[in-house]
Amino acid sequence: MSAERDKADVFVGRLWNNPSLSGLSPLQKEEQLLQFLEINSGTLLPTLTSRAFFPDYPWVKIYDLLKQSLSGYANKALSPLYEAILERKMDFSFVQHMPHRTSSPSAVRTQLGDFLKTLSGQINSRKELAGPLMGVGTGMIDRYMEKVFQRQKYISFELRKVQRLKISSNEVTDLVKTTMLIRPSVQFFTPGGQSPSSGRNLLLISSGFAAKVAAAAGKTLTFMPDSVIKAGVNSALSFQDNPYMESTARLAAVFSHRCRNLKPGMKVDRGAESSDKSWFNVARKNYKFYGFDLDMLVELHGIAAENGW
Amino acid sequence: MEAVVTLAIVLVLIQTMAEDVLVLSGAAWTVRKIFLYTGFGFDLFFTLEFLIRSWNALSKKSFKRYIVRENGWVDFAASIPLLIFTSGPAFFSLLAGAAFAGSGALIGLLKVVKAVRMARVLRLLRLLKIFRRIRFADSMMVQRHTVRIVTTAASTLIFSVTIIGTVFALTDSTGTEEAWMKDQSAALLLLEKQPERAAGPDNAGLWGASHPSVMLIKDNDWTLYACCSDDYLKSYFGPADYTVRETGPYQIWFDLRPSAVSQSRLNLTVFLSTLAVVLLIMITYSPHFAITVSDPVNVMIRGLREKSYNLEVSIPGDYSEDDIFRLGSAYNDEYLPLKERSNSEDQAGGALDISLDDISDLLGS
Repeated sequence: MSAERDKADVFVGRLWNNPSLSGLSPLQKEEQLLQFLEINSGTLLPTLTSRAFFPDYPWVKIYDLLKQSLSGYANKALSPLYEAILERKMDFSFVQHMPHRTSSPSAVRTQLGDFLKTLSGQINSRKELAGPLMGVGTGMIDRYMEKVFQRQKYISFELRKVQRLKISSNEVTDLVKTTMLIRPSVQFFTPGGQSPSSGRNLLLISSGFAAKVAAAAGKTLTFMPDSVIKAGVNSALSFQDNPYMESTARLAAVFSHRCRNLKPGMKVDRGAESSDKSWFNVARKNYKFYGFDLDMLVELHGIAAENGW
Repeated sequence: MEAVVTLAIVLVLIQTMAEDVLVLSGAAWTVRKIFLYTGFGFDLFFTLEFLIRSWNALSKKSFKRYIVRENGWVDFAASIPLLIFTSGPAFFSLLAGAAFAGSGALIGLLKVVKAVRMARVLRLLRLLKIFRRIRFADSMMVQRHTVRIVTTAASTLIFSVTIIGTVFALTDSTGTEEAWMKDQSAALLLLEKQPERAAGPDNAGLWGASHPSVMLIKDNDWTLYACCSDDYLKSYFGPADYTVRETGPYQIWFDLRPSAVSQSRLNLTVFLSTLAVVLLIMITYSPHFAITVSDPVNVMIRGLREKSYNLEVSIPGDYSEDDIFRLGSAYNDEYLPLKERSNSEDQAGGALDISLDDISDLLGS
C-alpha cells in the first residue's frame, strides 16, 4: 500500500506544483484539484490505471488514494500558514478590552490555532476556511479597514457607534479577522456538514440555529469572548432577516465571500474593471441573495474604486 | 520571399524620399544618377512581384480576391505604371545619354515631365503594404479596422494628388513655374526676331545673365555665354536637367531643374503627409478603437466563456451611451450577478484554473 501512496504522491505532487495554480492558497488548490479529478476522471483513468500508476484499480479506490495524498499536501502547507497568520498577521490584544471569558492574547491565539486545525479536519468547514485564510493572509482586510477608518463613513459609524467598539482601529481590524476565522464553525457544527436552511453552497442559517452553533463553539473556544464567537457564527445570518446583527459579523460575511475565490496578482484585462471593484459591484446586485448589508457593499465598492483595487 | 519583399518596400520608400531630397539639395548628377537606376530596379522588381502574384492568383482562381481583398491593386498601381511612365523612360534616356526630351514646345515638355514625376507619388502606396505587415494591435479586429481606415485615407490622398497633379500639369495653368517658363519662351521669341541681341560674347553675356534659366548660348560650336564652368555643368547636370532650343543661328541650353525642385517639394510634402496620416491613425485611432470596441467585447467574451471570470466591463463616462457600452452595462448589471448566483448554487463548485492541457506531459499526450 505504501508503494501506491508514493505513486499517488508523485501524481498529486505534479498537479499541486502546476504553474496554473500558483498564487492560490492551499485550500483553494485542494478544492480545485478535487474538482479537477472528479470532472476529468474519464480522461485520467487510462493513465492512472496504466502500469506506471495503479493497474486494475477501480476509479473509486484511485480517487481515495489521490484525495488522501492531496489532503496531505494541503495539510503540510496549512500548518505553517496558520502559524504565519496567527503569529504575524494578527494580534489578539483586543480580547483584553472585552467582557466575559477573557484570557491572555497568547492563550487565545493558541486555542484559535487548535480550533482552526479542528475546522480543517472536516470537509465543509475546511472549504469554508479558504476565504478567511486568504483574506487575512493576503492583508486584504488590513487594507480595507485602514480606508474604512480614514473615511469615517457608514462602516466606521456602525463599528464605533452602533456596535460600540471602544478599541483601537488595529484592534477592530483584528476583531474582524478573528470573526472571519470563527465563521466556518457553522459548517463544522452543522449536522451532515451542510447548513440546514439551504441546499446550496451558501452559508446562510437561521438565528435559532446560530445560537446553538455559538454555544457549541463556545465550549471549544473557552478563552474567546462570547461576543466574538457570536459574531463569527452570526456572520452566516442574512442581514435582511437580522438587521441588528453585529457590524463585525456583516463585514466578516462580505470579506469571507470575497476572498473565497480571490486570486492575488490576477491580471486585469484591458477594458475590464479591477477585481475587487467588479466583485463588490456584482455583490451589490446580489446583496439579498447572500444576505449582505448593501450600505457596506456600497462603501467597500467606493474604496475599491478609489484605490484601483 | 516575403521578408525580401518587405525589405524592398522599406528600401524603395527610403529611395523615393532620398531622390527628392537630393534634387532639393542640388546634389551632383553622378549621385542622382544612382537613384534613377535603383528606382528603375525597384519598379522592375515590384512589377515582377505583381506579375508572379497575379499568376499564382489566376492559377488558384482567386485573382479577384487578390486584387480586391489582398490589396493587389496597390501592387499594381505602385509597379507597372511607374515602370512604364516614370523610371523606364528615365532609365532608357540615361542609357541613350540624351536629354530627357529635347524637342517640342518648351512648356509642353515641362508639363509632360511634371506629370511623369507626379506619378512617382504612387510609390507611396507601398507604405500601405508595410503597414499591413506590422502587427501593432493585439486584437485582429483592431488591426483590420485600422488598416482599412489607413488604406482608405492614404490611398485617397495619394491618388488625389497624383490625378489632380497630373491634370493640372497637362492643362494650361497660371502657376508661377509655367509663367516663369513662358517668360523664357517670350525671350526666345525676341531673340529670334532680334538676333543681334546675342551677337558676340558681350551681348550674349548680357542677354544670358538677364535670363536665369539660360545655361549656355552657342553660335554653332562657339560658346557665346556660359552660366558656369564646364566642370560644373558636367558634374551637376544630367540629361533630364536641361533642354536645348535653336533660334536663328543660336543654340540655347535651358535649365529644367527648377521644375524638378518644385515637383520634389510636392512629392516630399505628399510623402510626409501620408506618413503622418498613417502614423497618426495608428497612434490615435487604433487605441481608441481598442478601448471603445474590442476591449469591452473581449471582456464580455471571457465572462461568457469562463466560469470563474467575473470582471466587469469598464464603462467610460464619455461613451456610456455607445451601443457597445450599453451592452456592457447590461452584461455588468444583469449577466454577471446571475452568473454569480448560478455559480454559488452549483454543487460542482467554482471554475477551474487547471485544465488537462496543463498536465499533458503527465498524461503522455
